[in-house]
Parts: sequence; C-alpha cells; structure tokens
Amino acid sequence: MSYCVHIGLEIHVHLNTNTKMFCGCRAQFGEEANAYICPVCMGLPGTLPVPNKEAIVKAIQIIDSLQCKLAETLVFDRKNYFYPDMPKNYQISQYRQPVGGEGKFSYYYAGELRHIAIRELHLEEDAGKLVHAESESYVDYNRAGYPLVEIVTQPELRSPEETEAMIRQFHKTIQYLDVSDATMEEGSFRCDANISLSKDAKTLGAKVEIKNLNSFHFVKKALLFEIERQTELLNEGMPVKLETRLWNANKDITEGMRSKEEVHDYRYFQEPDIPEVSISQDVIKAAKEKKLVLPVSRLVDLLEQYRLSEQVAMIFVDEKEFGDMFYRLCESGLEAQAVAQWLAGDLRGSLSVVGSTLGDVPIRFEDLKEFFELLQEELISGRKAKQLIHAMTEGKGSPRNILKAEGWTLITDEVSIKTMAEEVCDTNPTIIEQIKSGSAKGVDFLMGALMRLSKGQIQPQRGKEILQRVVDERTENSR
Amino acid sequence: MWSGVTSRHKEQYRAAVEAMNKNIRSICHFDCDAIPARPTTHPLSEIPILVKDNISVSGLPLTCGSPILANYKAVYNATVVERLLDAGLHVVGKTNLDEFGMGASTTHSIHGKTKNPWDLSRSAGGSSGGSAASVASGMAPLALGSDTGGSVRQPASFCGVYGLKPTYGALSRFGLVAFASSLDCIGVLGESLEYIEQIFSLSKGMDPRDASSVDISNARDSSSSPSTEKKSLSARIAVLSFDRGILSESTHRVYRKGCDMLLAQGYEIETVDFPLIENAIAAYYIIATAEASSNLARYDGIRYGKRKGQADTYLEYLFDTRSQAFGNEVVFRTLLGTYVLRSGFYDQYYGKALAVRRDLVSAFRRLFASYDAVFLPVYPIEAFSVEDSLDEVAIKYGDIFNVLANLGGLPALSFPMGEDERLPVGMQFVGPAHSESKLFSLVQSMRPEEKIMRPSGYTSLGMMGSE
Repeated sequence: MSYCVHIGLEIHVHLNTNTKMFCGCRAQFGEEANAYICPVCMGLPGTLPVPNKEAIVKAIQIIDSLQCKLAETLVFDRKNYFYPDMPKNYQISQYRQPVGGEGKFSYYYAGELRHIAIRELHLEEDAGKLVHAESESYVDYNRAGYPLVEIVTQPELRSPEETEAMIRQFHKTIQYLDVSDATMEEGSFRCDANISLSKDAKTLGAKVEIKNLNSFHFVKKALLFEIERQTELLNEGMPVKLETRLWNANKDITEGMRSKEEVHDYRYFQEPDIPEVSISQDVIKAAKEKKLVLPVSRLVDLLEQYRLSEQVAMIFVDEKEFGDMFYRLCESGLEAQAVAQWLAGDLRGSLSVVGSTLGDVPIRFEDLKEFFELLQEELISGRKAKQLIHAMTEGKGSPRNILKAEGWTLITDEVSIKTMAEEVCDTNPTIIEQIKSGSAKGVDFLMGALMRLSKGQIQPQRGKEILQRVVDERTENSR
Repeated sequence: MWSGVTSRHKEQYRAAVEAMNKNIRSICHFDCDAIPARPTTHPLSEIPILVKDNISVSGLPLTCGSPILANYKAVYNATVVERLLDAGLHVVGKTNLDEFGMGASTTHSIHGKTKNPWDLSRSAGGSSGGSAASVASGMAPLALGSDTGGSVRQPASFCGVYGLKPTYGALSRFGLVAFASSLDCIGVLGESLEYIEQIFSLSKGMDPRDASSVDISNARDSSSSPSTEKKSLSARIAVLSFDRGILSESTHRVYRKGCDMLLAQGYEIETVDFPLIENAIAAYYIIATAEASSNLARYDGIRYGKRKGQADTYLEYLFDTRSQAFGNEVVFRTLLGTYVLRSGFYDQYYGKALAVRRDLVSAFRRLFASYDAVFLPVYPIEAFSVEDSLDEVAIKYGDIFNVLANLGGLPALSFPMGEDERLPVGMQFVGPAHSESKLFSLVQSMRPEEKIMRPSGYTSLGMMGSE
C-alpha cells in the first residue's frame, strides 16, 4: 500500500555578518580554535548580550524575500538546556514571537511554479563545536554566538525529489540575497527534515525528524529511506514512533537517537537582558536599500518574458553572474536570443575549459558589449567569433584589439572584395562557362574559392553580393 | 576628609581595616596596591571605595561568595567600575555578600558570616551586607552593592548607612554578575548623601554593552531642583496601607516618627490603598528564581570555575560539578526557579507573576500621577541574630517593601532614621523612574545632618586624612 507523504524542513542559515550575534567578536570560524572569543560569547560572569543590527537587517532581507510578516517588535527568548558547547547553557533564540511570521517560498518543479508555506523565521545564536579526541573532548567556541536564522516550513512537500529541488532553490535564494556564505560543508547552511506518512492527504501521520543531513543529496536519500521504513511499518500494522533520527551517511540509513538525548524541557522565557524594542525604521530602511533579486522570479522572467529555453534559463539562474551579465547586455539594447546563445554556449564553454567562471576572469561588460556589436555590425565571421570568445577568456584584451592583433578583421571595403572576386572568376573560366549554360551550383563553388582566398575574412553575405555582381557582369558581357 | 588615606597613610589605613575586618568580616579581599588610583582632579579622586564581590573589577577576585567561583579572577571592569576608576576613585577591595546576591543576611558565603558593627551578634543584612558593614564601621566612605529585591537598602538599614537603588537601567549592569536580570541593579552605599549622589552621577547613563541601560539625557527627570539647593520642597507623599502588625515595635515607632516628620516638613501626605503589596512578594520570588535558574546555568566548570575532575559522561560530570558548586540557598532558589518554568506550568506560575508585575507597574504609574514619592519602611524588623536567624521564609517575607521598587524598575533611597534606638532602622522613599534627584532632596530634608551616626567604638578611618 502506498501512503501520502508530508515533508517539512527546518533550514538553518548562518548570516555572513562582520561580528557575532551578541558581541563584537569577528564572525569567523574554521581557523585556529578559540581565536574569536570574548567575555560575552564565552558567557563570563557579568557579561550581557547586545543584538547585532547587521544581523537583524539581513534577517529582514530573508523575511522580505519569503513575504513573511515582519514582527513589530524584536523579542528574544532563552532556550535552557545544558550542553558543553553552549557557554551560557541557554541559547538566546526566539520562541513566542519570531521576527518573521507566515510567508511562502516559490520554487520551480516538474515544469511549473510551486509554493510552500513558511511557518516562521527566527533569529538565534549558534553554539560552539565539540572536538573529540581519544579519551578527551575539547570545545572550540569560535562558532559560539554566530548569528543564525532558522526557517520552518509547513509539511507541504510531497516527495523526496521535490524536497531536494526545493531545498536547492532555497539555497540558491540565500546565495542571491548575499546574507550567508551558505556552504553546506562548513555548516553555514544546514537543514533538518521532518516526514510523516498518512492514508489521506488531509491528515498528518506520526512525525519523524531527521537530522545530520549535510548535503542536498542526503536529504533526498534519507527521505527515500524513511518512506520505505515507515511504509513497511504501516503495512505490518505497526505504529511509527514519534522521534528524531540521525542520517548515517556511511550506512545509508537513518538511526533512532537514544531517547535520553531528545527529552528536553527547554523552560523558555523571555530574555530579560534584551528589552523588547520595536524594529526601528532605519533598520527596515537599511534592509530594503538593497534591491533583492530572487532566483525564482528571474527564472519565470527568463522563461516567460525572454522566451529562453528551460535549460538556458536554468543556467542564468544557477550561475548568477551569467544571468546578471545577460540582463545587463540585454538592457544595453542587444538582442536577447543572440546574447543568451553566446553566453550560455561558447562563453560558458570556454570558461569551463579553463576551469573558471565569469566572476574570476577579467571579461568586462564593456568587452562583451563590444563583442556583440562586432557581430551585429558583421565585422567578424561566426567561426572567428568563437575563437575571439576563447581569446577573451584567456585575457588577451578587448575584442577589437584581439581582432587587430590576430588579423581577424573582416574585409569590408568593396574594392578589395571586388578585386578578389575578379581574381576568382579569372582563375575559374570553366565555371563561368557553366554558369553561362545555366548551372546553379557554379556561384557556390566560386563563393567557396573566394572565402578560401580571403582566409574567411569576408562577411559571407556581402562577399556573395559582390561576387554575384562580378559574375553577372561577365556572363552578360559575353552574351 | 578621606583624601590621602590610602596614599600618605596607607600602612596605617591597611592595619586599621584589617584589624576591624577580623571581627566584622565584611571585606573578603583587601588590597590598596592592586589597582592604583588614576590621577584626576575630580573631587572624589583617591577616595577609597569597596566593591561588592559580584561586580567585576579586572584583576581582582570575583567569587560571588560561591564555591564554584572561589578561585575565579575577573578579566574586565564592570562599566560602573570603569567610570569610577576614570574619575580617580581608589578601589581597595571586594565585600562579602550572600552567594550570588541571594539572601538578606550575608551569612551564605564561602567567606563566612559578616557581622553588624552595631552588635557583632547580629547580621549586617544582605546581600550587600559586606558593603554596608564596611561603610558603617568607617573602613570606607563608599561601597558598591547590588539590589535585586532590597539587597542594598536592607543592609543599609541594618547598619545605619545610606543606600541607593537606582532606576532600572540607570546604571549599566555590564559586569554585575546576574542573579535576576530584569530586577538587578548596581546600587551605592555611603556614609553621606553627597557621596552617593556624586557616585550616581559619575556612573549613570547609557552603556553600549548593556542593551537594558537607559540614555539618561533622554530620560525625563521629574524633579527640577538639585538637592544642593537647600530651599524648602513641596511634595505630595503617599504612604501605603499595609498591616502594621508585621512591623517590629521599634520599626513601627520609627516609621510613625518618619510620617510625623513628613508632616512637619510641610509635605502633603496621604494613605493610599495598595492591595498588590501582598502579591508582589510572591511574584518577586517566582520571577527572581526563574531568571536565576537560567543565569546560574553557565557555572558548569568547563570554561572557568571549579570543576570536579574526571567523569565518563557529560551528564555525570555536570552532576558532580554542579552538586558541589553552590550553597544551599542558591540550590534552593535554582530548583524553585526551574520548577516554576517547567513545561506545562508556565501559566500557573511565571505567567501569573508577570501579570502581577504588569499590574504593579500600572498601579505605580497611576500613583505617581498624583504623588511625588512613596514613603516606606525598608524592612519590618531591625538586624536579626547572625546565628539563630529568622527562618528563611520569614527573611524572604521581609522583602515585602523592598521588592516593590525592583518589580517596578523604580528608584529607591534608604536612609537611617531611628538613631535613638539601640539598632539603626532605615526608611525609604520610592519615586517614579529617573526621579533620583527628587529622592535625594527628600532625604536631605528629613536628615539635615550630613553624616551617619557611627556604632559606638567606631570612627571613620577618613579622619586619618584630615590630620
């Protein structure tokens, strides 16, 4: 028997602020252990937390992108529990009044735009990190106090595949907002999934939470495993236990935690060290100052307004710098289809050959604009254009300079082209005779000869026009 | 009078303090050399000051009277301390207290019991008993204390000195070891009103390291005239109706005398019904212990503090370390606070207490629309015995008057009144937020004599300076 699947996510995002959530320490980790700590984030007696305005601004930017309702006042709560990586043995979080209320996230899946409801978004501080040695454990507090945003979705996802697609696009959104480094390996973007199976779509089953999902791929694999595990239980008439399970990437299974580890009474109460304050207009203004581009709106725009193929559109969404360049070039008056084709095709291809991307190489907007102008003015052949793009990725300078240096400039003056056309006609008298007797292919042959003679440096259309005139003169004269 | 005592007369001063402290045990760390006074031209330059041992002074111990912090040294200065050092005050030591400020007797401490210089068999009060006894006995003119539910005013009353509990947020809490964050205030105890006023104005104001500190320049000060102007005041004073039967005979006598004096000063005085007074003490103990249970969670011996050696698991380690970390009173309050916050009981206890507190805040707002201040006893009784003291419930119930100012975030100033009695008795004025200067004026009008009375056999060591 198959069941209705309900999947929800809890997404944790480290904000890329200069300083930690409640103190002046640099928000940085991964370097020497305990290099970025101070009395405040170590919870020394007498210290007090002071909220970081930059973190609030960035949280509001996420809130705006999810169309969440912004709370009027900022309220923090204490979540009390003991753990050696928590300097105060409570975490400053938001419980009763999260800064972001209900909202939605839009994503593209199975050829259509879909939405998932967001339940809430709250701000909190991260804990440190335990390092286990053979018989001893150590704590690195660099991460303690790092600003963290947690986004909770409703359980509205229907399959592991859709969940993976959604979380990838959510991750992309966070990258677009530039509010987080959003790297899964370093843990600055993490997610926990919850899943329940039920007989009908309207009711939820027993909820199982899955933690330790440190790649998008694991999210899908763990959910697939859970569906199989829970389906088996339900088919045998056994209940699914309400619990938290850990993904074991070595065994490709989820495992239940010891019950002792999950029973917590967090004794939430409002953080008395931070008075409840209304979110000031200047904070809201600072958050709105930056124009937010969202991947999903870019995707829809590229598909519907620019009529790009899904494949190309996806490239411009996933590789934001290509998308940004596409828009800039189009806005400068260039023709969208040609720009899309060259950017997603040869430019991206050449760059991937040298293993770099648009942000890394000195290809400026001005260079690309010049390139497209050369094409538009028909000053370069298609074949040479490909070589030109490649030369540009190697940093050989502006397109015009490259053309000049390589001698790739197209011959455009009529006299030169006509001289070459006449030379071609002179050296091929038999072809002229065949044309006279009505052969249609004769001109094509002469055209090939002309291109060879010019080493491809004549714009074909123009070359053909002039050649035709020369041929016409000769065939008419003899009549 | 005190200038030069800790420099020109340092050795003499040190010897005198050490001799007195043998009996009184009010100072738990004394060192005139650890933090040399910064040279300034401020009138309080080089004046010695003692700091309660739950306020951080860089380089000095910060034990909070607790086993867990017995060997802990502070690594930074509290904002208030830093401001006083900048003005040139000379921090000469730390004073004893009830562990983490929890208590009203200064008997719950690893440094032993502090005695009242008026009668060594009696308590100095608490939790700032060390500060109060030191000032009363003349060891220093000034001491910082902390007041969560009366911890400055009650020992000030027991020892016959002045005690200020400022408006919540007027003095930065940065560096004050938290007991109950929403109630805690650094306070000042002193031998004269003038000293306290000066310390208050030196140390008050916004601190970027304390989000709950208040920008005084924006805060409305309801009083207009500084107390130094000795012109006659007009004021409407409220006295609250409460069961006079809870007052000891002599406290009651002094209270009545105070009311008479208010009338004699020409103040309008009226009795106001204030039924919340009984609920306030219950609300206080729920809120204070709930916050304390969370604030004291950090003492696990991992980053600092005394830890119990090895253990196989984290939980085992935690139980071992925290079981020996605290004295009984702290354990009791931590358990009580944990109990009232536990899941499913929030509305029954903590939520209710918050509601009482909100009601109290609005009741005070209404009251201060018509009155300038409230006149109240500090504590129902005089200093109790240090040995077979009152039972702990009675001691807590005694905070009934003091907790009002803490729950309301209001300033309160206690002063010695009953100096004809065998033991000192203090009274207090409570005013609207940021009305400290009005309170100073009122107290000054009640006590024209500047200095406190000393217990017999004690003289101010400040006298050395005037030689």
